[in-house]
Amino acid sequence: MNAIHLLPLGGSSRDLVGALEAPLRQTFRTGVETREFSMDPEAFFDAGRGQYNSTDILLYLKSHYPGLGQGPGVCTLALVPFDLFIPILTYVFGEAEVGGNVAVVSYYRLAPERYGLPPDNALLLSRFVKEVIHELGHVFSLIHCSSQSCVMHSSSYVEDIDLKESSFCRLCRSALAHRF
Amino acid sequence: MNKSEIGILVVDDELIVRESLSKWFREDGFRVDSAENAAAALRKLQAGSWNLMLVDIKMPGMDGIELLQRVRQTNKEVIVIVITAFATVDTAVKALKEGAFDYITKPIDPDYLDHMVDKALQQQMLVRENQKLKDTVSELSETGEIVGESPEMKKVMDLVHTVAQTDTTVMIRGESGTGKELVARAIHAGSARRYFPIVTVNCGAMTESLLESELFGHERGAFTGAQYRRKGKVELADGGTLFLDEVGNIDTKTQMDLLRVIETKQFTRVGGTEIVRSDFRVVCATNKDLECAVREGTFREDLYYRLNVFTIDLPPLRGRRGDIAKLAHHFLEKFSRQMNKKVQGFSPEAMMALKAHDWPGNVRELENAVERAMVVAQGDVIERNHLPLHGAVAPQRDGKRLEDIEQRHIEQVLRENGWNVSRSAAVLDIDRVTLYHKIEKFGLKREQ
Repeated sequence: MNAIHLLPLGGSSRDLVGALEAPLRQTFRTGVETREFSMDPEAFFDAGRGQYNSTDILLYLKSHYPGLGQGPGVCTLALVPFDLFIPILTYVFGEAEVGGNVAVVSYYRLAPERYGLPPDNALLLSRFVKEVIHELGHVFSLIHCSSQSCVMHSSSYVEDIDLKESSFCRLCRSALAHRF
Repeated sequence: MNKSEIGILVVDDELIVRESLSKWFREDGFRVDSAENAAAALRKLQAGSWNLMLVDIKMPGMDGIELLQRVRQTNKEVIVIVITAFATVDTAVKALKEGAFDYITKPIDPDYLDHMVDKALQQQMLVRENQKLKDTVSELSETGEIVGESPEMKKVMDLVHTVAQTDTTVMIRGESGTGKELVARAIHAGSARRYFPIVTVNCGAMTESLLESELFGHERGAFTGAQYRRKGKVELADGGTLFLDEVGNIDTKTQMDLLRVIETKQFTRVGGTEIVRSDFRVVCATNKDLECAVREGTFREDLYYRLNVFTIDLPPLRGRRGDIAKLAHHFLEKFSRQMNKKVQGFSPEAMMALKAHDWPGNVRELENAVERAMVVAQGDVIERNHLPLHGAVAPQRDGKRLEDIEQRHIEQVLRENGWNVSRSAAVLDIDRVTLYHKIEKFGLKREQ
């Protein structure tokens, strides 16, 4: 992998997205850049559910983001502030093309205030970093890990995210090493 | 079980649902496939091995409930979870009555889905484990005791003890009724595989096609009357021991299939294409002269060498007469318990008759004789006239049995050739292994 392009979309916090660069560089030991890309999120809005379709966002990025044409070693991660869903599930934190080159992560459900708690930017960033690394792990062909502390452990609730680390376990790290 | 070995089949007419759920489970590491309608689902269920099905209730044509009924007619093991909309909870309850594990409403809470699938698979694993344990307990409770203190039987028990702890293929040889299956069970009980089943296949009692189906199982519709998929003995022996009794009676085609499965530990069910893996140890038994069968071309040489790695020869009962009294008392106690009759022992005349009998049917014949005597005995002692030994008591052989003539002839040829085994074997027109086998069988020794 030559580069990871971060795309803040739909009015995402630049500070929050910018704060992802260093931990991603450290984890994947590759170039990480925040890029500009214009996309109308409303095209993916489902009025019946009040949520945005993550699968459609991935398909759009695959066909419209020009950065993917800059070489086989580029992968793109869209970062959004709104709630995501895939049609059969009530919500998702993010979605990735397993073994592909696109992923999307939302921080909508990661903010403590969403659960009636006081805002905590450090906690929000910690959760966001874990989910972003998790989805990129899928992009690099990793599947869910049974180790509870591994970042590839499946998380359906924020509490699950808080329980795991932002790093890969030995086995996932080893599987990842084959990819690079 | 590794998640990649667990198969999940998603059945829904909506492409987006199939794709979303398939992707979700694939990220978890499961083996996933999908079907767009009930007919496709039944085809895939038939063609592959699935642990769990997620079935949408509302589908054009055959709906989820009817699919569930059809699945249950042929497959009792696969877990079915039905997917329904809020408005059709009544239908979901009907699905539960038809044998669905649970139902889940659209859209699905991801956490709920993960927990339900984990719970269902865990229950399936426990049910299978429970069945295996029941089979093992049943097998162990059926394992009889090997009775005998003669030097011949002590030698056998030493061999059993030595080989049990290894994973070596064992061939048990001996006349009918000498207790070959008992020895096979003793080997299994002493091995690391003892917590898994020992599965017996009586190769001599079946026709070619029946044996093939018995060994490898069959798919539904593989032949007339095959209404269900059935696991074969090889598959059932996974983790344990496969005991092939009367292995010398297997036809040549099945010999080839058996050789392949022993070497690769993989096979396909009759009428199927899916490769099934099974980890088992082979113990086999025969009362046939396999060397002769190899020479005559009725038994594959490669299979013979694959099976004949470690041989245990069981002596006939007449070759260990010292054990007759002990065996007779053992069976007496066994049938006293079973029949609730307080018979204390044998009269001196009865015991003398037992010791004098030639026992062509070996230990099995002795067991049957004691059982019959127990039935007819009125008092607390078995008398001579209770024993069914009329025509067979102490036959006068006078060295005229074919076996005696064979022994004398081999001894003479060995003497004439200065006990040179290769030369003697050439004169006898048998191979050296067979000659060594005969020398051991007859207890022949070179005169000093």
